[in-house]
Amino acid sequence: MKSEQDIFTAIDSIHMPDMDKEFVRQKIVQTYKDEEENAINSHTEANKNQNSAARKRHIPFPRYVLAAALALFFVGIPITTYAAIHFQWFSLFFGNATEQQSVLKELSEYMNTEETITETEEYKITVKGNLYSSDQQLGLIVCSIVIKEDNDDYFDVVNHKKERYLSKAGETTLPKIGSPLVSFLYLNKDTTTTLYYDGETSEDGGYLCGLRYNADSAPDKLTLIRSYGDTKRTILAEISIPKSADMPAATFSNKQLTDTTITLSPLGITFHNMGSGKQQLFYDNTSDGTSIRNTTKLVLPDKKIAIADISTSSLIEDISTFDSYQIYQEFDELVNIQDVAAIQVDSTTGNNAITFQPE
Amino acid sequence: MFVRTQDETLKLYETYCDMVYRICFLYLKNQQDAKDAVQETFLRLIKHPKKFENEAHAKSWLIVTASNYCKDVLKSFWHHKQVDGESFPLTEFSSNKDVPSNQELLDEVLYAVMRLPDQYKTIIYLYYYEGYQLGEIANILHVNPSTLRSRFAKAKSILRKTLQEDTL
Repeated sequence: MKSEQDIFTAIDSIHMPDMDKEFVRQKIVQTYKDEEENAINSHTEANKNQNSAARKRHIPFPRYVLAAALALFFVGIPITTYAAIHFQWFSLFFGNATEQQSVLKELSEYMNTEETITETEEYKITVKGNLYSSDQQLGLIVCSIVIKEDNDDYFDVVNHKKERYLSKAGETTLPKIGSPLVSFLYLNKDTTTTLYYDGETSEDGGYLCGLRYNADSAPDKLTLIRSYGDTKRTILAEISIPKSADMPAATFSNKQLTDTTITLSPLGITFHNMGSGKQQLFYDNTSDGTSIRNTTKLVLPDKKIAIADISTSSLIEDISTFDSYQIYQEFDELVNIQDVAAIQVDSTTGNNAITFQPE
Repeated sequence: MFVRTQDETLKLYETYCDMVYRICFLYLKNQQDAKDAVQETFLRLIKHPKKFENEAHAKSWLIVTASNYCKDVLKSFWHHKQVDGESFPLTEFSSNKDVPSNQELLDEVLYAVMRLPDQYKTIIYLYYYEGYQLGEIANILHVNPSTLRSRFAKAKSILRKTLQEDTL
């Protein structure tokens, strides 16, 4: 006989073990203790600052003004001039400095202007464009998603061929615009990866998302799915994707390592080796794809950019044969490849740096 | 500084840790994750910047926060660690010392509740275990009452089908 009472009794049989209870209790006490220590430390720091300020000699007003003016003249002006030249502040007034801040504007340099829009009472999805690097066989679909209905269902936007969780909505789980939705995205090395452009929304207020794909998973449409729990899922819409626009790419090589080439596009970087394997690159422990990714830098005229700093967390490493390999690494911001003078691959020990020059 | 004192938080913890644990366990289906979820829920409580109006308000907040946290965890489990509830014996997730005589029946009922889709679990827990009315549950979960009624009916229908019983 199964009744409401049985459900009560069954649930009642779940108890938190005493040891776990005590553990969490200690954690709560510790959190308060840490907070108290932080408060004391900041109070002490404030007192120190106050005391040190009090110890300073009082400077009569006219001398103070004179000292400040001289400091501004002799120190401030040279620093400001140097910074203005170094960081190209003049472009703020004479150039298009704000363009760098907008992912959409960056993308529009490469994308088709064609958009596809799918809208119902619950959601609106706009596919802004579709970029593809044929040299690398990497692609990027940019779309904006507005979830209109406030409920506790989950929405998944998935690549038609390789399913990836992209975005969700819910009364308390929907992240505010500007908060890093990327933490909710799951990246997988052998399929599509996704990205949320933190801090930027589309003109209709939607989340701006990038849906990555490679040649094997190139989609002809996206699918919007509503999820109920673990199992039940309803397909709400299928969204067509504009035809892809081709991205430029550049190839880099090193005369000593004739079997290795690096292809660079604004979307990502690809290492190809068709010779004696990745051991050819280094003789120390920099032999796996992650280590190579972590020690690679783009050399620009005025600075070096570490690949790890501009990459998605997903590394796609494809060892196709015994003695050859390919590594793809996608960027989470578009890289202007024309600015890249060389690519430098350091070893993890720093002893075997190799520079690849553009062909 | 936190808006609640340590004593206030510990009082809420002593009162509701089992409730939060049960909710988390129904979602996550194993002790370790449920313990972590309880810890996370109460750490969020400590950092929650507003005072509660009364005890019921605090209880509702804990229920919703624990449920939402578990849903987030399950989403991350989706690709990495799908836990099959049926593979866990009752002794794995319950530390109840007084094992009832009709253990098999309770196992079956508990498995049925744990296998419910996530959005129904909290409703079933609040209705059958905490004894809330559907209207109150709708308020707690911020769900439209008619939506909640249909979800409850659906949950009961799934349970009935799973347990092949018509007394629910």
